[in-house]
Amino acid sequence: MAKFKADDVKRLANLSRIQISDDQISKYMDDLNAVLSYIDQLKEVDVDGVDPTSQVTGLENVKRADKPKKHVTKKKLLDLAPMHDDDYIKTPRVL
Amino acid sequence: MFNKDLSELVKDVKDQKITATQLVEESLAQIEKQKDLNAVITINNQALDQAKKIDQDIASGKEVGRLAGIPYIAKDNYLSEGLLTTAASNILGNFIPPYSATVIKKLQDEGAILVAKANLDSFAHGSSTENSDFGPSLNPHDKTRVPGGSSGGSAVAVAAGMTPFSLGSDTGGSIRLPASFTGTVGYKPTYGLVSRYGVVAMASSTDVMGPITNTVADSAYVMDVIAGQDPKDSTTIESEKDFQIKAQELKGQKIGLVKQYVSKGVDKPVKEAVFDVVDKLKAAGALVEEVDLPILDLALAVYYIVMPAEVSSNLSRYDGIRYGFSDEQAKDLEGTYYQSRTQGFNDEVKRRIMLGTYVLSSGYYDAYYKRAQQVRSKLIQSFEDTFGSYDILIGPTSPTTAFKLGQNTKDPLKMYLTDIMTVAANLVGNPAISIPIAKEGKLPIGLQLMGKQTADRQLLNVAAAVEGLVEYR
Repeated sequence: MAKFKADDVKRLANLSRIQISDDQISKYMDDLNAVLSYIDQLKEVDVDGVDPTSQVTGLENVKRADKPKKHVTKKKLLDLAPMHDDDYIKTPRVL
Repeated sequence: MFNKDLSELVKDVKDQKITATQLVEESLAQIEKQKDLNAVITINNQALDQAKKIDQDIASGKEVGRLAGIPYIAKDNYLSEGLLTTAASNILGNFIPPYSATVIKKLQDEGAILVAKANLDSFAHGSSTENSDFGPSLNPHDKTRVPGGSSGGSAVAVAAGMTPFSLGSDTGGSIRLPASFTGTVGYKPTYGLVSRYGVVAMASSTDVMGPITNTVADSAYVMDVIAGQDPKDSTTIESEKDFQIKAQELKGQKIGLVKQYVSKGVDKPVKEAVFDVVDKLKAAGALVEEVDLPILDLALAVYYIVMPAEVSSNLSRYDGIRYGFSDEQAKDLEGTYYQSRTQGFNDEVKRRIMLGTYVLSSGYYDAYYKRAQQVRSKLIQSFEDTFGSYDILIGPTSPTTAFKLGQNTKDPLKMYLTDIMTVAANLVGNPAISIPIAKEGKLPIGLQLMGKQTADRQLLNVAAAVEGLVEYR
């Protein structure tokens, strides 16, 4: 059975863009391992030839008229951003 | 004041026996009086003005909507234009949406008045409402216990008489579980029957919006207003024209009592209450049989792969750049992501994001995510087969009554197990409802009824008949 080690937890936190302090790692590791051992029971199930289900409605290629509609104004959306100009959202430096 | 059926309450408002203003005043007074229950995060200061407007319209003979003047509370993951919407997370602690959810808009168009936004487990991640960044809600039947979750505040609102109905969202049981713990009716419609547009996404393939009410008839009444296809949510399906129910004649109804839901781990009083209903159903002429669905034992494991996977994907949008909390101390773009998310999300949200990231990550995708989706197919097949022989499936909504505050918070897996009887309906997409049937001491016990996909009206009709049999109210 797979088990998370401290390094795995750090790696997952990084992939998730979340910081975890060293003293929190063992708690996260234990919690995640408990869930992992629970979901591991699916490994026993025979799923040969079974198609996966990703949605339950059976709907395909839902379309609507391609017409412009009034929605929220640009200003209202930009105002939500912590940093913005009249026409764009600003971010801190990238490099 | 809110003890009447919604249809009667609406009639009273239209006949000017009572005013919308009086109803909203009563609602606000109850919220204030029972502040200790922590059911509500934000009050809508416009509510009274909106009520006065409805009263003026009625007085001047104008046509008003199907819910004219009726106050309600929405779970705080429904976007409400101009009114703080937090999803009970610090990362949305300052978020005032520029538009409303389709459901909120539909209710507004029919004259319903949003008086407040209800507390929930942060991002709807939880089964007790203890995981809210705004503190837990308390169960009005026993304040040392949880109201269930994640739509805990919404259920408390109805149970404590703050409003005659409320809105919840149900991804793995989040409407039905709190309904069961608070003695209210909690209805999760067929997936796609109600628009998800403008509701903070949790797990998009299982998220369903629905009402919490005092009676099954009230749930049907609200459904008539909120159901229907929405061009803004392409997973919505066509709806029945009319959900108005009449209690189903139980004679000849084929009802399956789900064996897995009354076997191990179910508290004795809960089991006894369910078997008492079974006796009453039989006496009323229904054909009740135990039905064996072994694959149900795997439903929770499937759910705890599918749900975190979708959570991790949906919550990647919270980046501190476009809206919500942003750590201004961050020195660069990456730092903004890390610091805003680290401070904005609580531990449970982080756990789910990390778990979802894991099951979707390269090398593990097939072993976990794909496999879970395959077992989900088997689950769906198994339900289809079973519904070939039965009209309705029943069982308890939860193996226990409301548990103590703090009882399950230290052990996430133990908390997850409280969803064991509710998650299957979300994975399959079929409708399910929890109705109160009895009490153990002060604590309500809920019965879950599940129907065939899109056979929501039939489910509501049978639920109304069962409601009549048990006479809980």
